[in-house]
Amino acid sequence: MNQAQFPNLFSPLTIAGKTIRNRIMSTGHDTTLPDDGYINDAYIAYQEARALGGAGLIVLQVSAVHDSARYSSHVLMATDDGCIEGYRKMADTCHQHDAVVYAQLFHPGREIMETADGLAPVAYSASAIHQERFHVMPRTMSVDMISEIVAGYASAAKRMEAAGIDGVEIVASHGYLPSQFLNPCVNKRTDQYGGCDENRLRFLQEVIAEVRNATSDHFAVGLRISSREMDEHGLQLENTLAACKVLSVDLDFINIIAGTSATLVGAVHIVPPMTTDNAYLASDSKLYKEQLDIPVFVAGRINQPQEAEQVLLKKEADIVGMTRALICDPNMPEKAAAGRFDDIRACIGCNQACIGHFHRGLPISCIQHPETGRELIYGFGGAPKATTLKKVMIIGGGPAGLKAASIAAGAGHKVTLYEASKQLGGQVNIAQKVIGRAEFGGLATNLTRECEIAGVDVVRNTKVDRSLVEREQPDVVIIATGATPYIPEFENYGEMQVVNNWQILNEEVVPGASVVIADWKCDWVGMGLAQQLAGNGHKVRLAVNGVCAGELLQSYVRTSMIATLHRLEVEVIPYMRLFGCDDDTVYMQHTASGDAVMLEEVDTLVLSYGQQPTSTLAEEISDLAEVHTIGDALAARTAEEAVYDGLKVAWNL
Amino acid sequence: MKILVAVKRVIDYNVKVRVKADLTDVELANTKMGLNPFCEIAVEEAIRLKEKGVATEVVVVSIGNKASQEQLRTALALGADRGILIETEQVVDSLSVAKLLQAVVLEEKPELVILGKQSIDSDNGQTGQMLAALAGMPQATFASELTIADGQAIVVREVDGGLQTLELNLPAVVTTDLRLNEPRYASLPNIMKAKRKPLDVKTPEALGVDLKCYLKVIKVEPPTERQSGIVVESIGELVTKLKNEAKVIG
Ligand SMILES: Cc1cc2nc3c(=O)[nH]c(=O)nc-3n(C[C@H](O)[C@H](O)[C@H](O)COP(=O)(O)O)c2cc1C
Ligand code: SF4
Repeated sequence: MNQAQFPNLFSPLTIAGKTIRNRIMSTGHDTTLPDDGYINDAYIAYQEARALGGAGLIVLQVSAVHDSARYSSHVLMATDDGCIEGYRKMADTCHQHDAVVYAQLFHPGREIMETADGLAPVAYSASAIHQERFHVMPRTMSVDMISEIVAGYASAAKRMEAAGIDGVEIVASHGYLPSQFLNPCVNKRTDQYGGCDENRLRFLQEVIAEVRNATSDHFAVGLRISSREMDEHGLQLENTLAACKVLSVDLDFINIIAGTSATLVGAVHIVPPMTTDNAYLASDSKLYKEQLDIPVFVAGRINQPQEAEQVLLKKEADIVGMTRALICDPNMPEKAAAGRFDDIRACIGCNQACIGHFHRGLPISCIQHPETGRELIYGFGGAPKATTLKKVMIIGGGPAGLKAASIAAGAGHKVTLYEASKQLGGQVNIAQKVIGRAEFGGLATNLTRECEIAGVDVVRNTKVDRSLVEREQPDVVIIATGATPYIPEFENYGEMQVVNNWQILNEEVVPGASVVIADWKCDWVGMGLAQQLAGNGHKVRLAVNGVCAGELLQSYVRTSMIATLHRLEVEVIPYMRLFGCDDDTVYMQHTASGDAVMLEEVDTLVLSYGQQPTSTLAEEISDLAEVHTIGDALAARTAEEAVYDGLKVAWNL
Repeated sequence: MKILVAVKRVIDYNVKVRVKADLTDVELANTKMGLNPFCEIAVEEAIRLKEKGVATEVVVVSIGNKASQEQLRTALALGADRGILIETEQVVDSLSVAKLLQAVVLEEKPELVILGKQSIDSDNGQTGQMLAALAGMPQATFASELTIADGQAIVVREVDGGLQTLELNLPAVVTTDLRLNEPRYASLPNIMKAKRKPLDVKTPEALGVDLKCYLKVIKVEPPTERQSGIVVESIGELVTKLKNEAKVIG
């Protein structure tokens, strides 16, 4: 098989004189790898993995064009010539692997998420209109400041061209500064930059003109814009399309996305979670493509080459952004070209380690592929061949065991993976039963495939005990036996039905009409159960031991789940610590006031308390081999830690 | 020794009371209700006596609609042993309450009855006294200290100009003042246990008490709002104003 299966995806496209080898793009995404405002080795290695893996077009993460554009503590600064060297190394590296590379020119306006010193920012926008999500009140930009910022876009572009970058994308998407000028709800100016459509467009027109003036004809200049900001107060499709019709005459491409950073509901579309349809913005980009004469790009939950090919085939876009697809599997293009579809590690849209890390100020990674963002440690192509080959027994076929097995076998060790049940995947098999989380099952599929490729021997239906280890005489035993639901102590005086989350997911019990979920964990399980039960007609109260439901979740995932719970009329009660229950009442303690809260007329109490490891095997066999315990068997955490544990332990065998 | 404590469901003391638009009563719909603070003090005192080993059982009784069970449960959560609700939807005046309590006293034969000195809704301050009269028991009202010794209750009372100490023979009736004690908060374990404590529901008919009401509420009005004052320039002006405008001096 070869790339003929995807004739459109693998056909080249020339923009501003540079030929992009295929239609696969990694859109601009902040990796939090640079830590001093300049491109560093970690970030170059990160993008090198994607260039090497076959991405046609790499758009670098946002680069600030002005000192007032520091929207996070880790933002790249393109405000002085000191930045050129970094861009040059990056350009050289990408070019070496035949990828075209653009940079994003960025000013957030009032969308300042955090500052380096943690103090509240002085933010500037078209007008002084409050920002909802980060609670920022900006100042109105003076005309002088506008000129300075416009000049900042131009000088940043000039530096990038000097560094060998192939083009720039002006970030007008997601409610950032250019969108703030465009948006009549945010731009209340009465001067030449506000009021009528023409005036509100002026800022962007000046930016584009100055960037053009500062760069050559072989330097691509495009625009990223949200076709719709998905919020009542945001830009709507008619506005953006009309604006882009005017602007496109001076542009080389338009890159379509959706959403706005300004509000919770709008921000979900910055990195749409797994409940969003694949390629959901292709109908918007199609409209653009029909009405504009320049190439149109689109992104948004396109995570498989088949989907991308369809978008191109239906003439919905000219280039397809597959950002998380490449975060998760940098070699996806190469595998697609070789027809190795089953080997592609598809992104599951969990948002946990990519944008989830970003929001916590951590370097980017992927729960399925912890090598991402750690290229300087783990390189681009699996573990190096081991010098002494070991016999390795891995016990438990969940994420931790599967990852450890594939890495160890890839290094040449003789690896046998033992799974007690008939099915690999461990807790993933339960987690994927949570409503709206079916795609999570992809984690098990992908890791299982990686074991197959690496040549791991899999033994199912086998519970390992000391005697089996004695017989096998392995050099190393890796225990990855997972965990089982943790049941806290609480007063139980009555006859109420008390069940745990797994019992509901596994359909082992039938809950009553009125349910209270005691959700200590504050993750997707409690919320998912609430959604499932409310959807099935139960009256549901979700009592969370946190300040909000889904406190531990990535915020876009949380927002979309909270929206669903709200529509289903689930009552979410924050600050609730379980104390006890009797026949029909659940007794809670308010974690701030200490006061008693009684939830009455309850039929079923559901405990959502996470897991706890139970195996004692490690102690039992410690004299027989080198023993490591990983994943939830070590400490119950999430799939991300489990997979990373597997990588670390196997890498260092 | 058995102690009977009477408790009343009233508008929560934190709530600002509003008058109904038709001026027939105060607004009770959607208003937070609670245990009358003086009754809470009475419950607390009884529980303390039990904790000291003086009392063996604390019985709480309330008169009112079904919802009054909540206040009985609160008293049980504080530590009372069992509850009795005399359930009625009717408006009952102090005398009817005293008669009902007397009926309970006849059944329960407590050696001490503790009540609040008054309820913060009607502010009558009559029930304890009426009960003592009907039951023929000695009484000490406005108690700020209570000790039981040698079959007697020694009660310190707050009276105008000082304190008065009384010795009563048991059984007796005591009503509580604010300074008698500071009630505890109900703990979660006790709130849970309270639900499993016995709570009897009785009717006035079963107790053979006729709830004839001798009082009629004619009108309920909010207090008039206080007018802002003025600063006078001189004593002379003040006297003139008091004479001519306020008409408080001749
Ligand atoms: C970690 C992370 C950081 C991002 N930062 C940016 C950014 O700096 N600029 C931008 O335009 N979009 C940013 N995005 C959005 C992506 O460009 C892209 O639109 C989004 O991931 C949806 O595409 P996908 O479904 O192919 O992943 C970011 C996404 C992720 C996952
Ligand atoms: S962490 Fe989740 S959403 Fe992010 S790239 Fe990996 S699989 Fe996709």
